[in-house]
Amino acid sequence: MIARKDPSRRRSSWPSPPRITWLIRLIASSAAPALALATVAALAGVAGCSSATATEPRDAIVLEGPPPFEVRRRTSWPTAGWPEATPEEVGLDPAAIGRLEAYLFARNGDDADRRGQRTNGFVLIKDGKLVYERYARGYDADTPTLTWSVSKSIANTIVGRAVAEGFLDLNDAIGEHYPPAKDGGVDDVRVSDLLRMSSGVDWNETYETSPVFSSVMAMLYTRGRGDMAAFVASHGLAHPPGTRWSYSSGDTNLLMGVLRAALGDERNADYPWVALFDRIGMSSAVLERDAAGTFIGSSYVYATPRDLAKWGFLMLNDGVWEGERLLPAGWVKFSLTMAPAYFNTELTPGTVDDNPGAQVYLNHGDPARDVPPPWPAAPRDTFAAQGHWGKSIFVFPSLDMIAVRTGDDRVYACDIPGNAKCEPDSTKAYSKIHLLELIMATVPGGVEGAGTTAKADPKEGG
Amino acid sequence: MRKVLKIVGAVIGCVVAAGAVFVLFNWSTLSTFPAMPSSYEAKELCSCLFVEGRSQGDCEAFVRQDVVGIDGRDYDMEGKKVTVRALWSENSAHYVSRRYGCVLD
Repeated sequence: MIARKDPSRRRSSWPSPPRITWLIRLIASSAAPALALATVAALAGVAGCSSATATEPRDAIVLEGPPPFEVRRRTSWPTAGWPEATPEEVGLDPAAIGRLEAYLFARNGDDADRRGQRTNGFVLIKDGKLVYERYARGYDADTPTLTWSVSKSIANTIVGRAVAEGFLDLNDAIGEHYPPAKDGGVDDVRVSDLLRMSSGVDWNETYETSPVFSSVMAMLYTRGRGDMAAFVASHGLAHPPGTRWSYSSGDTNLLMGVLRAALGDERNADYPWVALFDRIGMSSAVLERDAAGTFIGSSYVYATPRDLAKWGFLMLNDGVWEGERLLPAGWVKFSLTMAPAYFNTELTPGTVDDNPGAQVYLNHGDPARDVPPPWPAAPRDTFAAQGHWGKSIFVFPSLDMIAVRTGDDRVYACDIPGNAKCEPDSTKAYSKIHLLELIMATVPGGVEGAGTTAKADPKEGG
Repeated sequence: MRKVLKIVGAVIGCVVAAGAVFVLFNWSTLSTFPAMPSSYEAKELCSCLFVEGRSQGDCEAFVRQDVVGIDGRDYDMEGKKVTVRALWSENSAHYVSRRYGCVLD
């Protein structure tokens, strides 16, 4: 229900068996890992060791350099609204747009069964112009829509603004700003670690599939909801900061606590709007807060698809908007650089396609481990913000295109890994891979430099 | 027969003891779980109604989960507040503002 790609990965919707089955499942899913964890913890205690206490000296990250794509010169900006054009005017194939539409808005089941692709809205931007949009299921162009973990990528950019204005530095230990970090023993975690989900904080990012022991569910709805950043900090470290990558809504919300502390309460209260949303014309943006008043950057940005595309446009322009640099030089490059800890982290079927930058997801792969780029049809420079239940902002720099899709998918196609109850026919449920194939087909002549490799897709059979 | 009963008794005893240890070690997590379904629904219903501006029927369909039964939902449409009861727990969320959306009480 939340976040991971949010749960677009550990996902699968709440099952629907009778309650006695639920109880059995609850105990089975919860007891085994808990007992195993308790045993490991006990053994670690007996051995008197903790792998998380040693912190090696670390090099400072220097923000510099252009992004890994050509930044185009702009003559118009969509602050007040997107200029519009027909697909033909920007060189896209209208027939292929028709096939894209047919897939996105097909219904393969009624709403009660929650099967099939359930698209709420889709917007396609090409050369800085709105060339296609459509809405369904009661949504329209003016509906600020829940984005789940797409919020994380927007949180990245809010933090980037604070770095540009000198309130934070990537290399700051969070304990310098946020005293509760010391209480939890996570004060040596750096701002960059949180952005790269490499904090080492002991965290369990599961959603509906294992709600009882899910750290993220507890953070959003029970034990952590009063003060999410403090709740995350209290978890302590499972690994030294910067050494392991682990998808974590907790890292994002701890970062929101650090941001608030660095800005001060008064400036923090309207900072996302003053520093970012108002500057780029995201007038529909809502960002909810926890009971302590800290922004829930992991999950609760609401905005229209047109406004979400403006985030992509800011990234496409290397953080410059209407001639003014909003993000530090090098910020987009940093955000689109794979988190180094990812390469030291054992991958699972559920994480093999994650390719994390800094709260942004890449089409990179890991050749050293025979992991191909996750989106074979798309150019290698593609990057994305991704949220649970089929929400995404895909940005294609080499094509100067942005695609925003909001949805409420509860059953995915089988090419999304770690997904037991899936739809084998990718035309009959939400499939990022199929969606990207259809988007790329709108570009006449094909797409150069797409991420396809000769390697077998590890997600096959998913 | 008595031997079988002894074995069965020992197994049941072990299971009960293991269960007690499990509950003891995880009490803080287990004891707060019953609040999760009602707080989830309260928060997401509030945002669906007052941020996204959707209908009550659409929003109830959105938050529906077929695992835990919901005992009741109260909508204060004027005060922009939603209260949900489930698993002997009651939780509310209310709308704060245009920028801040909803928050759990």
